[in-house]
Amino acid sequence: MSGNHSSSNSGSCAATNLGSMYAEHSSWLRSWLYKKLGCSSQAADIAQDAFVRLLQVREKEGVLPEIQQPRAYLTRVAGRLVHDHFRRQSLERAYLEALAQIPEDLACSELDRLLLRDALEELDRMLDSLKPAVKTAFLLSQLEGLTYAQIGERLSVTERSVKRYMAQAFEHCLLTISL
Amino acid sequence: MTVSNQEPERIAIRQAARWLTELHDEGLDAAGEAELERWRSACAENEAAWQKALHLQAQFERVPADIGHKTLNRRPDAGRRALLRSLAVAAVVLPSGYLGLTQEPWKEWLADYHTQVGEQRRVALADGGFVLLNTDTRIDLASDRDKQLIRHYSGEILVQSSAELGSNASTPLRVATEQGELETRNARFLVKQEPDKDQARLAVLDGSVRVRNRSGRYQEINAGSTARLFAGQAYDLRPVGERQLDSWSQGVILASEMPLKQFLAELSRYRNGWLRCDPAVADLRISGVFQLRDIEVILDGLPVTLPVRVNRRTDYWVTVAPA
Repeated sequence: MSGNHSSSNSGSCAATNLGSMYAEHSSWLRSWLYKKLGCSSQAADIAQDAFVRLLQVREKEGVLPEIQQPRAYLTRVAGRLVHDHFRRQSLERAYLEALAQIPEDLACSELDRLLLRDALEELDRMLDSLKPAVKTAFLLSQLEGLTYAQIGERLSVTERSVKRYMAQAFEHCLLTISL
Repeated sequence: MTVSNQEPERIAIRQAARWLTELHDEGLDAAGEAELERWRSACAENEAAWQKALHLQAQFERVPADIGHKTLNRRPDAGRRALLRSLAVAAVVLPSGYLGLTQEPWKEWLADYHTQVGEQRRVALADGGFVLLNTDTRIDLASDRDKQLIRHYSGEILVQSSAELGSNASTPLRVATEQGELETRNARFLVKQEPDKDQARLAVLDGSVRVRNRSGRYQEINAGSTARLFAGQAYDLRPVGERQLDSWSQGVILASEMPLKQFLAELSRYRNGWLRCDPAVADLRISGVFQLRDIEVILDGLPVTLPVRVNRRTDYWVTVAPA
């Protein structure tokens, strides 16, 4: 548990902070999440994820971010994770419904299906915060290969607007990709 | 906006987005292609940004148009938003329960006591009794001439109302929790908060404890019984049986044919971090007396008696899995 007094570098010092942060905040965070999700094991998982995010930040930056209001910070992180959880759930439902409507003989291989799911999950996460008009324009281009003029007609907006939407959507997507 | 927007990576991303925008309208002519190639090879940031662009393209190519529309452009989930709204309302409307109801103008607030994960602490009461706080526990303790009140917020406590059991304490002792209020003059009992289930557990080891519900009626719980406290009532009265519910007060966990999953859940109360039990080994049984003062030793010893291995990804993240 504690006996970790051999701190010789900034890494283990930050670990102590994370430890005390966990000690102090994990239990109310779990109950906060439980109230949102109504399921204790999901609440525990997501609370854990929230701390794993902190751990990742620390590993990336070398130190924990300076957190003035841990509660506000953690609820924000956890709130995003809850949002993500529901987003994935609704994606999953939509995906299963879409699959059910495909004729048997067009069904693809296991591997294709895995790659498809993977791609959908990543794209869905990227597109999550785009405005509906931007998203629709972007999907008409990327999924159906329509030109910007055709998209403008469909959505009753100018071609220039479509071009702006596209640049916005591309930039947003690229920013979320980490390779 | 700020300096960060001027970082080379950020600029490269914006330029890559512009190239993609051109490419997807009517495509690039030969001159355009050559220009794009020059841009890519101009610096490492540009090439890195373009790799992201290629990744994005590849992901879209895996998605058939109709499936893509039905999934990525699905309607917002009406049911889910309604659920979130109702949860938000419930959170506001529900009263804070007994902690709120029992607000009284206490003359003397003795203090607020708490323990960290893995810690225990003993707090003396008037009349020679005591409260023992188990790991990760918080209480307030208040007393004046004719009563003593423990507000129990989280964790687990063992309470003894007086120095010697069998004799009535001169002042009644009350324990207020979110889920119900207890009163006794003569008892040794455990209260454990289970926030996940929105309930508390009461186990009376000696004497008797009265549960006072919101309408002021009392339910008497006698030695040897456990009960669930919820919304001011005691439910599911059961015998304590052979279980040593207060073994933690002696610094040990007693397990007798305990499922591994339950055992690890118990251990995880005493250590920081995530202690996960692989479902494949969840039902293995474990028996013994385990010293709480060094949980890591218990974990390291598991593979000696059980067909498991202990994976430590970090100190905060430990998984017990099949060997």
